[in-house]
Amino acid sequence: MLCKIAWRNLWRNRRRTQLTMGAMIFACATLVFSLGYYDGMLWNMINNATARENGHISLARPGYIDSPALGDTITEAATIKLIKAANIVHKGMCPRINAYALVSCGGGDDNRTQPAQVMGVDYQAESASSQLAADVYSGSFLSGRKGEILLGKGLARKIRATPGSEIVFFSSAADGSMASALFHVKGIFSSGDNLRDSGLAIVNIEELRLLMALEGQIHSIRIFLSNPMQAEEIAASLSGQPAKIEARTWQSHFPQLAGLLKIWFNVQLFTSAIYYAALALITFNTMYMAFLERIHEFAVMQAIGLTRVRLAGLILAESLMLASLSGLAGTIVGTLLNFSLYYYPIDLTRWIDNIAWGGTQLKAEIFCVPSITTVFLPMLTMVLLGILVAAFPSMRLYYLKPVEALRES
Amino acid sequence: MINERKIPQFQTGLLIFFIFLLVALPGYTLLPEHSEKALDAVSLIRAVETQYQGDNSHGVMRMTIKTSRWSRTLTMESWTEGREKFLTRILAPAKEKGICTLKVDNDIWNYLPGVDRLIKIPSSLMGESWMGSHLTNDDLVKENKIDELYKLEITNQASSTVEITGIPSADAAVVWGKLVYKIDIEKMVPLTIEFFDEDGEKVRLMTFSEVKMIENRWLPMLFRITPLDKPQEFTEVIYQSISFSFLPPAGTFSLKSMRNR
Repeated sequence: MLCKIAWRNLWRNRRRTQLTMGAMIFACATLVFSLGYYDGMLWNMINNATARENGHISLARPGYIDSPALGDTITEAATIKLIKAANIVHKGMCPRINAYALVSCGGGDDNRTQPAQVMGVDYQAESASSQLAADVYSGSFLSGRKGEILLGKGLARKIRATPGSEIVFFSSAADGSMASALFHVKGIFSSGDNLRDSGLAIVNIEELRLLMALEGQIHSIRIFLSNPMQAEEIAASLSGQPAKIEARTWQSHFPQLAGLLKIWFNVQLFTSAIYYAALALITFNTMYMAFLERIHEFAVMQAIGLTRVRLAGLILAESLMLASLSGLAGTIVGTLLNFSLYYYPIDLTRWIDNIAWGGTQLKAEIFCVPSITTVFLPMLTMVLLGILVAAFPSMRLYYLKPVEALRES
Repeated sequence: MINERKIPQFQTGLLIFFIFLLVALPGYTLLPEHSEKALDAVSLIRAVETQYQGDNSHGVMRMTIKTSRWSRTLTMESWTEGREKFLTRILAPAKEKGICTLKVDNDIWNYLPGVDRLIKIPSSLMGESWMGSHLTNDDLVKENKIDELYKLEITNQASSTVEITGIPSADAAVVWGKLVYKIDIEKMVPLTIEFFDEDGEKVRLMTFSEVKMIENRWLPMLFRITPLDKPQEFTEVIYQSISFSFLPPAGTFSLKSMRNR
């Protein structure tokens, strides 16, 4: 009965209620979007940082990541079996081999030789999960054919190689023997990291494995997760396995980003507080004005026998209804917007350059990540707001003396 | 990033051979001359180098490299002419047979028979180790100029041995903070060379043994390099044959020669 009266009361002044609800819906939707956008920025930075080199989780022999050595390998089949047994939800995994070699281009006195890190990759896995293929700006990515090599932009410049150039590869294999091979440049890549691009070459993993006498072995496997926030939990479950494998998360590779993540929830709370402080003032103003307008009516209701508690409950119910409905509508609008921008981010690189920060890049795009926090935090706060703004009028109503109120009005 | 770089530079093997010649071989021939004079560290080393210049040599050596992960042995044939021309060719194992390294003046080339290509080694790579051995090219190249890069001083002298300490000159770009040679002055062969880092810590030891008389010279036929932080590892070179009466045919130290061998 109380709720029914509260509902009818809300729509007695339709325009005011509509305006108030409109402001609240807009504020709530904006907050849901903002929180999703902040999460999107964080995901963007994490994914940009991890997409090329590390993935979200790196599995390797203990100690390899900090102090890599050619002989510190893990067995590929056993590692994949371990990952499958752990039932990890992931976007993909990329086995890698790393070696150092001399790469040489040109003949006679015009020969140019440089030392390079040569990374062996599974071209199909990389195309599906990592950003390596997207970095190729001249020529094309590996196709699995024999003798293909990709050169970093700086390295290609140093040895004056272009797509199609012949490259001599010369290295020392894991068994100490000397490895030499001929490659042809398939493409040239630029990751934006000049240091990396000036000393990195990429070849098909099987070919490098054969050259470096690492049959059946890999140095690491990089796991790309659907949700990078689950990296630590999954890594802990993998590290606990009896196999001699160390699982390292993106947080250990990028402590700056991990530090940002630690304060992220507080940032979200702070953002919500700012939004709702403004919203609380608007709603309180509306509710209080409505209260003052109806004070005569309240006095009459009290005079004919409605208890103070029920009267206060009526105001609270009106406020809660207004806030909850607005919160629900705003959350739906904001969440729909977030989902849309999660699947279809808006690319702004035409107008704004990407921003380098903390070893990664902040991509110029509008990308949102819907999450439980971004959905429920604004809704919950809106309900609390409803209670808060009703508190003062309810209190005044509780102590209202009908005779004085009727006399004043 | 992998920091255990094992970029092969075959010139190192030849340079090991070279340093052996530089430090050890010519010494014996100097013995009559120097035995009549007071021993002086700088002139001794310089004389060794001077004596070496113009020498030709041809030898076969076996190099064993032992690391914590693997152990392997290479057999190499080497030719030298003066200080500036070296050529070495791997004879065994079969997988690497025919790989050559040529150094003429400041240029170093590798020939890779597996792909029939030559690659030129830039000077920036002289600091790299060779096949995971315990010597770097940079060390060895610098060793050729010890009398120029280090201030040499006799720090100890016994009846048959002398200890010479080398401290880098102020403007010398060298890796080592100090070198200590122990030389048998009777046979004029080195016994040990100790390498110290910039903090004065001894980090590497080179020992010479199996001294034999070859063509009127005492020669240590074996030397071993041991990194002191990994005492179980070493690189050992044994000379199976060596000749100083070799006259290299014209064109021996050429790119074409590497391909034709």
